[in-house]
Formats: sequence, C-alpha cells, structure tokens
Amino acid sequence: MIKHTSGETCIPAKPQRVVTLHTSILGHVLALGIKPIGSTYIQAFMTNVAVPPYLKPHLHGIQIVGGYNPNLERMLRLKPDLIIGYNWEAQVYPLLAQIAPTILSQSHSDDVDWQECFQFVAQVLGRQDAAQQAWDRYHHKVAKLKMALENQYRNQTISLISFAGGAIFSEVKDSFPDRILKDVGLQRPTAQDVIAPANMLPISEEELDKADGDILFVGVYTTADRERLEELKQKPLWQKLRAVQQNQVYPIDYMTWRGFNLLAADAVIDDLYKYLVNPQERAGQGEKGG
Amino acid sequence: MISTPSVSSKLASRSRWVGLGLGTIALLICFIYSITLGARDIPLPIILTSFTGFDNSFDHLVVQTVRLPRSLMAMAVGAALAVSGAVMQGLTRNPLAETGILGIEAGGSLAVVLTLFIFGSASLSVYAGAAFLGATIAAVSVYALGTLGRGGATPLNLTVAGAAMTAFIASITTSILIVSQRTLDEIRFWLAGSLSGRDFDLFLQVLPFLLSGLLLALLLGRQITTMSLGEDIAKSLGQQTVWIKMLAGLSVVLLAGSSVAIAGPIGFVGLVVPHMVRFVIKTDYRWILPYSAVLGAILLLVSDIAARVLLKPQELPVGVMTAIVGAPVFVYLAKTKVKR
Repeated sequence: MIKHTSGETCIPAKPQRVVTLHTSILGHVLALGIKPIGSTYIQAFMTNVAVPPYLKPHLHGIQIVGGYNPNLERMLRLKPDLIIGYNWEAQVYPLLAQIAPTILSQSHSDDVDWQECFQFVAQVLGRQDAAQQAWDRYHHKVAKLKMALENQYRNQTISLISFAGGAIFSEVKDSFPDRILKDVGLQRPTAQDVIAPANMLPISEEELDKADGDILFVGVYTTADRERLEELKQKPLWQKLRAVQQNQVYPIDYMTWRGFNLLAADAVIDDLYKYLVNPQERAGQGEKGG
Repeated sequence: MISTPSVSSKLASRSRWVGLGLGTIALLICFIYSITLGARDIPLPIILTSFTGFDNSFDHLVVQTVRLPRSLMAMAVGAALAVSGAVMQGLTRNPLAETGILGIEAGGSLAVVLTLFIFGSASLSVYAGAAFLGATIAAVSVYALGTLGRGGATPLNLTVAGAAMTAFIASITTSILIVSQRTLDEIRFWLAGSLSGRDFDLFLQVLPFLLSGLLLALLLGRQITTMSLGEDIAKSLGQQTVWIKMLAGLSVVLLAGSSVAIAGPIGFVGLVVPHMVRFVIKTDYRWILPYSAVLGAILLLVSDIAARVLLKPQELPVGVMTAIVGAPVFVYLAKTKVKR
C-alpha cells in the first residue's frame, strides 16, 4: 500500500513491467537498476526537441508511450504492472489506474526537490538500498570533480541561462543544475543566487548583464530558441558580457541540465569536467588570454 | 466680417496644419515614452546621453540597440498600415477595406512561410521579396474575384472576396505549418505580429520600399479624393482611373509588403485609423493620408507599449493588442457603414 497524491494504491512487491510518465522518473527508475518497459516525454511531440544524450544509451527496449501526454492505448497494449508519474497526470489518473496500479508523485513544479521524488520512487519500488548506492556514486563523482577543479574557480562565478519557449531564463538558486554546481563548490552570480518560482527567473534581453558571470553555460530548448540565441549572439549587448569577451561561453543540453534525476546529474558533471577541468581542451574552441 | 470661400478654406487649411503639428508632437511624446520603458530601469539623463555621447555602456546599448529600433519599427509599420488602409478605403469606397481584411497581409505571410518551407532559412532580402510578391498576388486576386460578383467591385463583394481569400490562404499556411513543425517554431511568433527582437537590418533593408510607398500614397491624395466620389465621377472629371488604381495599388503593396516583412501581419490598424481620422477630416485624402500616417504610428507605438507593460515581464505580440482594439470597431462599421 503506497500513499500518493491521487490516493492510496496497492502495488506489486517486485514490479516487472514499469511504465514511467516523465524522463526524470525514467532516470530515477534506471538509476535504481530497474529498466522500465515504456515511458512518455522521451521524444517530446515537438519533434525538434532531441532525445537527451544521457538517456540514449538506456533506451533500448523502452517503448515510447506518448509525447507529453500518455498514450493510453499503447500503454494498455504493454500490460504494465506499475505506472509511476507526476501529479500533473491527475486528470487521467482514473484511466491510468484501470490499466495498472498507478502512483503519482509530487514534482519539481510543486517546488518539491527531485531528491525527494527519487526517494519516493525508491520506496515505491522497494529499492532504498539501490538509492543509497546511487547517491554514493553521485557524491563520489562530485568529490572527484572537486579535487580535479582544485581551487582554480574559487573567485569565479558560473552563470546558467536557457532559451525556452521564446523567453530567456536564469537558472537560479536550488534549481537542478544550481544544486550540482554548489555541491561541486562553484559560485553563482549574485543575480542568479535568488529564489524564483520553479527556480527559473525570466529575464529580459535588457537585463542580460545580470546573467553575466566568468563562465556562462547556455541551453536551448527548441530550434526556434536556438535561432533566438544565434540572433542575440550577433547583437552588441551579447558582446558586452564578460563571459563572452573572455570566450567562456559553453553550450549545454537543455534537457540534460534540467534532467531532475541522477543520470542527468552524472551527465552534468561530465560536462563540467569537459569545460572546466581541462582548459587545454577549451583552447580548441578559441579561448584567448588563458 | 465677410468670410469668402477662399478665406475659410485658408483657415481650414491652417487649422489642419496645426492639427498635424499637434499629432506629430503627440507622436514624439509617445516615442520618447516608449524609449524610457523597458525591463531595465534607465534614468532619463542616461537615455539622453546615449544619443549625445554614446559610451558603449550596457545602458546605452539597451537604448540604442533594443529600444530605439523597436520604437522606430512600430512607428514605421503603424504609419504604413494606416496609410495603406486609407488608400484602399478611398479607392474602393469600402469602409472595411484594409490590408488584413482584404487578404493582402495573409498573402504576404503565406509567401514568407512558403519561402521558409522550401528554402529553409532564407536571407533577409528574400523574405522581404517574398512578402511583396505574396501581397501583390493576393491584392490582384482579391480585386479580380471581387469584380466577378454581381455589381462589380462593390464594398460587400470586395470584403467577401477578401474574407474568402484570407480563409483560403490561411488554410494553406496552416497546412504547411502542420507538415513542417520546424517552420512552425520559427514562424509562430512572427505570425502573431510582433515587434520584439525584430531584426533591425531587415527593417533598414525594407525601409526604402516602405518610404516610397508612403510618398507615392501622399502624392496621390488629390486623385484618391476624386476616386472616393465614385469611379464614374472621377472619369467624368478627366481622371485616368486605370493609372490611378495601378499606382495606388502599387503603394498599397509596397506598404503592406514591407510591414508584413518587418512585423508579420498586424491587423486592424489600417481599418481603425482612417475612420478615426475621418471624424476630423471628412473627405479630403490630401489630409486624411498624412493624418493617418501620424495616427497609425501613434496607435501601433501605444499598442506596443501596452503589449510590453500589461503582462510584465512577459510580452504579448502587438498584433494581439491591435486586434483587441480593432475587432469591435470592425463589427460597428460592418453594422452601420457598409452599403450593400
């Protein structure tokens, strides 16, 4: 018996055919060593949003059962024995519950930490040990990165902005990537070290300087957002940014850096290795001033 | 005091110049206000020094590269739409004539979407060229279609032809967008008509066309006044009506095509503004046209300010704002002014 946002549900002790309703839950379940048989959100129906690279190696054998909305017919055919999703599927819960026992968790949209959701999924699947091991792996990797970075970024700030749905956002305090950066001991710009709903602060082109840092990571959601970024790059305002002038702007995968799960966190740390640990590697991208 | 006709017309003419001057001052005030508005707080003195002593600071860059282009585009597009609307209303004697309602903007939009669909991202001048071509084809087709109906190109026939053409073109545009998700993403904001983040280079490329369309329209003021009395009267007064129609049509296509290329389709400015002007100036297109230009620029500038301010920090497309103002006016005019 598991208590969740849409009620109380009796679930199998060792579920074999799990369907997840979001990539972050898919990541949680994979991190716990269980392979779901289906998931939504993998390939969002906006076809130009690519499958996040960190999920690609795991996708073999996982059926896509919908874009943003679960495709009930396909799910029915898969005969799952457990469905795990977020409470934003509450409207279709009665239908989902007819297909299989369904658990709906709170989400990052409710300002509930993804870590909590991960613990909840582990509890649902009875894999608390595996969760502990996954956390150990994460902390180990963070510690290794910290060592590798030494103190070279002690006085530098790391800015994160993303272009999504036609707007520009600062990834602020307690966002998924912010927590990882803090774990690694990196600093955020003051203007981004603030609280905002859903940890995303919309910023205007006019206030780009508030998103400035010594290093700037930029993510884009759709191809239209990418074009917006490319347009902005041509403008004098962009050229004013310190990170731009010092050639310290790096592209990141939006869906990965907003992954809300440990697999994605792993990939974020890999990105940090790539861009921060070996400045020589960056020289290839035309860094000046060293 | 005996007032002779010539004196009274001189007086009227003087007050019209005064009115136009006041309008221009109002436009200037709106313009300055729109430049002071934005997500960033920039004190007025700093805004002023960005014009007199530009120092490449972030504040100055915001004023000169974000706000100034946007305000200039709003004014240019507003003037173009209003004047093209006035020309069309005079020429076709149709109170509902407007580039949006008669399908000309839809034609320009379809051409831009098609270009994007076929060639992927095209260069700026190709966009502009496509918009002009699409606007021309749509204008000619609507006029031809309207002439086919009983009674020739009456206001009602033209409006119906325009509505049919708009629906037809919009369905093609929609089906292209459904087939190509990529095109949709690139074009979605543009189709709503917006001035945010518009490319200033494109604006500068299109500006000569827009200005020549404006100039041509203003030069035709006297002829359009005569045409607005009816084609038969114009002919009997010795007007070369075919030539006037062609030249006026050219100016409409130049104005509509360039505004579509700059800002996407923005509805209702061309409809509402000439009617507002006619409250003051009844029939003389030599005055209606310049008044429309000034008032159109003011209307779009104010709509854009509202679009920016109402949902801060989010922005509405300005086309949505003009539709909110324009749709009720359209209904009112359709009920009261359209002769069958």
